[in-house]
Amino acid sequence: MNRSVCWTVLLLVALCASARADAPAPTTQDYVSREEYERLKRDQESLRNELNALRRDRADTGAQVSPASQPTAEGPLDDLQRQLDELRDQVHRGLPGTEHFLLAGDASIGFASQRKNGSTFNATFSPLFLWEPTDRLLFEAAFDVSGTTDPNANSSTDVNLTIADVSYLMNDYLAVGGGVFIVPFGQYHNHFDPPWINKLPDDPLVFSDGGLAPNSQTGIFGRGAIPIGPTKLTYDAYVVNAPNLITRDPAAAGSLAFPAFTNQNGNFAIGGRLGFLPFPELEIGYSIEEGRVSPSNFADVHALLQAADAHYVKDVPFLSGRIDLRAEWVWSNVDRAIYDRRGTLGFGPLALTNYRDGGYLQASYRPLMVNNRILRNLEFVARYDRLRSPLRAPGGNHEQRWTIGVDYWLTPSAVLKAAYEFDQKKSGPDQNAFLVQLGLGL
Amino acid sequence: MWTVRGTRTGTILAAVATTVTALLCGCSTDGPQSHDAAESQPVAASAAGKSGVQLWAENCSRCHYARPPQSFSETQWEVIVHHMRLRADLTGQEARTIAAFLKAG
Repeated sequence: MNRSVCWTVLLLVALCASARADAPAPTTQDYVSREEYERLKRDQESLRNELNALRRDRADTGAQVSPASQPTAEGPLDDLQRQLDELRDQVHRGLPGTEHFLLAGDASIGFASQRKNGSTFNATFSPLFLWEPTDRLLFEAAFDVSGTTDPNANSSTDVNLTIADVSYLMNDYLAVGGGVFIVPFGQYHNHFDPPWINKLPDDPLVFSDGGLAPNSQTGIFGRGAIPIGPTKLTYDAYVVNAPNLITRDPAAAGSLAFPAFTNQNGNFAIGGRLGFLPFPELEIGYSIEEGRVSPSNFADVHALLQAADAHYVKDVPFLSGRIDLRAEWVWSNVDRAIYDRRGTLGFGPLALTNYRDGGYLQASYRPLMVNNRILRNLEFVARYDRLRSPLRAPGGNHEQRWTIGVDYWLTPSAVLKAAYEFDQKKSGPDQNAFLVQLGLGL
Repeated sequence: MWTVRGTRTGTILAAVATTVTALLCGCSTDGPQSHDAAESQPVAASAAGKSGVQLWAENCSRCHYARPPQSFSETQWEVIVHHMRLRADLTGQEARTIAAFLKAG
């Protein structure tokens, strides 16, 4: 640094000297006088000072310009970056999978050709809303949306609430909750009902509309599981608004109506299920529900529902595939009562103990271990189901069906199903049916 | 007003109440762990010595063909496993082990 300063000074001196040399020569002498020397020395000193001052100014200006100019130039940039970050966070929060809220559910599109009923397309959509605000708390809501057309060609949309509950995990072995929930009566409604899980296009008679088993009910519940060595015990207990006894409908008197969203008669039912898994492939269970079901202006009538279920799933290398065996049976007993006591409804007086029972046995096989992809996605299903109610009861019948079907699995949660149903009724015409359905899990 | 009529109802109610009370009192020490706590456990941590993939295959495939872990985000799996814990009667440990496996996938 000092060296360059010296060189600069010398250069300036030289320039000055040459300027002086170029200047008109002194008229009197060719040498530098003492006075001229002193003047040159002052000029040099003055130039050096000016140069140093200039450098300091430049240095000061450089140091001052950056901080001074940055707030004006980079301040808006910082603000913009902040806004960008906030926007990015907001967008991120709105992306699927970043919130403890989930829209799931299922849907189906079907075609049914049934003897004595003609052919029709049908569709259902059942969204399921899940919200987990904390590790222990879960809100669930679901409803079924479907359309129907009555014999008078009047079409309507049905929206049925199936789930609206909140549950709280007390510990590893117990959850409690309440609301409208799918009661764990048997396994079908709780596990196999969705169209992407059910291996056939329709429900077994005992679990269909007008069947014996409750689906959704309103009340409170406790449920959980307890491991016992290599086995596991599962349990469910609940108190709900009791189902309502139908007393005035000539086609259904003596039957139970599910669900009861509000309790109009002060009737409650209690129930539960005990399940046992001796090994993971097998689950067996027993369910019970009991309660007073009669309306307030009717005799005291209780109903007792019971169910037994078994489910076995096993990958069998010998068969190059998976077998799935399901069996459930339901018994429904409504105490003796006299319906249409005065005969004004046209079907009484009718003294009836409405004991009904029914169930299903289902077997399916899917060659999951074969190499052929198309064959691997096929599943073959057979089911026997029946429902018996007293023939003298309103709507009473003995009905049984044999159903064979084949499924093609597009994905683990999308299946195309086709089935043929052989129907036998004790009362009324048999209604064989050909069914096709696309079941989707969302 | 809830009135229990008949010995049948009373007996069942007593049995249910006893069971629930026993579970509430006897099992309340093992509270569910947070997601963070669950994540801190190794995927291989198990219920009855079983791995996450084993419990996933045993419990999920019992009723339906199980969707692969890549089907949902980690947060979505947390919600789904919570829902399925209730629906399929899983223990807390089983649910955490399955969730850890699915989230790791």
